[in-house]
Amino acid sequence: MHLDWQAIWHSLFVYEKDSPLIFPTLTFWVWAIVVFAFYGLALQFGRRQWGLLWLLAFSIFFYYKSVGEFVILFLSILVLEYLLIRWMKKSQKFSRIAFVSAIVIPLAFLGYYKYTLFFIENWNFLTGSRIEAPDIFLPAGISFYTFQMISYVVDVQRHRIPVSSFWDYALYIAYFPQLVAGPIVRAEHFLPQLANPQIDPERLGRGFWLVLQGLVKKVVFADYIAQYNDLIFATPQGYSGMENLLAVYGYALQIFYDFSGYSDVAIGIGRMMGFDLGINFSKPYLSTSITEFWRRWHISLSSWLRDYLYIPLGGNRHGTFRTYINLFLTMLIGGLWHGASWRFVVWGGIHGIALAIHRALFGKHIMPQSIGRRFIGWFLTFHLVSMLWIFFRASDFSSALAVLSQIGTDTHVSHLVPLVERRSLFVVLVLIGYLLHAVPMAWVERIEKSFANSPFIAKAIIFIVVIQLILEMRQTHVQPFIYFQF
Amino acid sequence: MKSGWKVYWSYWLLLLLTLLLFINASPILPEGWERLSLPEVVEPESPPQPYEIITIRVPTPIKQRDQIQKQDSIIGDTSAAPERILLIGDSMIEWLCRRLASWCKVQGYKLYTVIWPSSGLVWWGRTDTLRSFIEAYKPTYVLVSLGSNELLVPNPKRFAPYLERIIEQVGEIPMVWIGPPAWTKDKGIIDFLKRRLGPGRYLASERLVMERLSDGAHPTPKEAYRWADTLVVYLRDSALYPLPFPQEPPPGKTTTPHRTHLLSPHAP
Repeated sequence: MHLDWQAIWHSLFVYEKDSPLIFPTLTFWVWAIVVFAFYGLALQFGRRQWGLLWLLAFSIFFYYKSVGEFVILFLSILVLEYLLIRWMKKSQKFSRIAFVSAIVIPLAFLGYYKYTLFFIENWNFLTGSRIEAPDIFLPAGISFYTFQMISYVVDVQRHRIPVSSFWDYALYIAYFPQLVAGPIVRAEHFLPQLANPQIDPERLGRGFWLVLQGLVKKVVFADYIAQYNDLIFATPQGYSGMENLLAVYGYALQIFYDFSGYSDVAIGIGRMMGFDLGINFSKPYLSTSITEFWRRWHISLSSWLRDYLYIPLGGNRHGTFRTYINLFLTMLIGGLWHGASWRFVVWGGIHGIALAIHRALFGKHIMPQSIGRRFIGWFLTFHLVSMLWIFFRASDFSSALAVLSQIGTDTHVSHLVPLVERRSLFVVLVLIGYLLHAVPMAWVERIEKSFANSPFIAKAIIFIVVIQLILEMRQTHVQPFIYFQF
Repeated sequence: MKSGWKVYWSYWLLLLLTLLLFINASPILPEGWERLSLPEVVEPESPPQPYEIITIRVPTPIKQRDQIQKQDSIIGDTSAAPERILLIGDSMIEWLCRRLASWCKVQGYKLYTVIWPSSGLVWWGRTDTLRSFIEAYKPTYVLVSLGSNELLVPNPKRFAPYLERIIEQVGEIPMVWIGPPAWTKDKGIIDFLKRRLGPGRYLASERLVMERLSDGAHPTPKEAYRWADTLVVYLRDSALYPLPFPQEPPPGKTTTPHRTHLLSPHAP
């Protein structure tokens, strides 16, 4: 084997726009071995600070591999934020200015990079002007680290956490597993762990299992299912209603496996390094109401929105009507956070309306009591969520409406059998995907624990078989994670 | 904590060994197991050839061919080269037609292509789509590439009326059926087509080993070009109604057909 060392060097060290250092790539795992080796050595020999510094250095490099020179912007905001926080704590006189600046500055950068084009497009549309849109690159992860920075500032201001050292703060924001696509970790949860990373056998085993589970979710399920979904969503008018409906069910599963797969790998790597990053998903499609869904889906974001947006807006403290408005506004902004498009606004807005309606009808009872009502609740919630994903996935409004129109006007049961015959592997994977999703949490816990306690050779066999499965099923090019774009 | 570190390093070792195993341990890996790929320098052993042509020869009854050519005044005179070729099929022909167009251009033929994604014998047999294109372009040769979407359908005899309808619509015009480039074992459709069409009118594409796109079914563009080259050799040397084509590959890799229709992938 004659290797092209120049290409290997390039893929390991140099930023390439289309090749970020994402989890299901060989380059990432080569780096992971190096990172784990130095980190482990530092911690084992009592040099915790060196280990954490090493993690910080690699995290910055990891971000450089994802966004290139925009890493300088990230570091600049990071340093500026920290200085403002110090200023906020030290100066009684300018505390308020520093606090507001520390909130506004990262939001301003997020606004510029994410929403400028959206704003110009709408301005041009409304006023008939022809402002030329600048060529703006959206750096991956900016939405996530902006939220983490804001939560840190607010928590310090509320005296929930003390101001940590710059290095701890920087690692909290930049820690590579969660930097570009979450989970959005809270400082009060993460920072205390830096003092004593927990390296114990069970946590390691469960972390390793999560990593494997996440990779299988992403590469075996999400990427395979994506092929069919992409085909249908590209030209929905060209396919029958049944094909469109199947693509909607497929996309609901794809986005869950894609994003929860990423979260699993991130949380798993965190666990293996001795950190708990929390959980991000808890079987969301088993929800029996929309309120329950948002307590199970992207938990780190929904709890962030609750604590730093919904409650500051007034939450439920100013009467029933204001509660509904606050729910609606929170989800509307949550939708806009996902992407600068009216599709996301509509997606978030309808979720907000649904939450408000559920609140109006059932108050704080998020789960129906009887089995019959629970089934109806589950059916309605699942279909509402799935149908709203259409706005999330479609390339524009007309495509989204075309998918809905095809489903509404051209769905015939007779199309099901030939469709299943022609797309059998897709259908089987979707079915297996939903069945696995329905496996009770207690079983999942038991499997994780069994894996953690199994002999080394059993783990090795499972690991190698899973890697082979991933290699067999992977596509020519690894699909980027859906949440990278946010 | 001590046992924690032992386990930590055991996982690290597992990662390292697995990475090495999958990167380069072919003697250990079972046959067919994939490996992760590092960028590799490939040094060509011989000067690169622009195209590789694989010839599939289907035995053609020369005597029978000659007799038919003499009887049929329209198609019998192969010295007067057919000028208009109509190629119809499913999404498999998307890249094939571009390469075939390149060959046709050299020979001065006009290639008309109709791509109906997701279509099969039923769609074409149930409608007058083919007849209307024949009436529109008056082709002197028809190429049909269907069957990929029926590979997994058992009991292919059910397609007999639709196949007959397609053949009927083609009528007297010379036709070659480009067999489906099967990516998986079929459930009888290939044998069914071969038997009905007979030698010289069926290109056994299933015998080509092709790299596929990420969907696992469609040939990659490069492989589709090779498939087109095979088709050209078949049309020239083995078809019941031969079509003159040059021995040398065309100068351009691909070109666009004279006219292409992409039909909406709706069931009729």
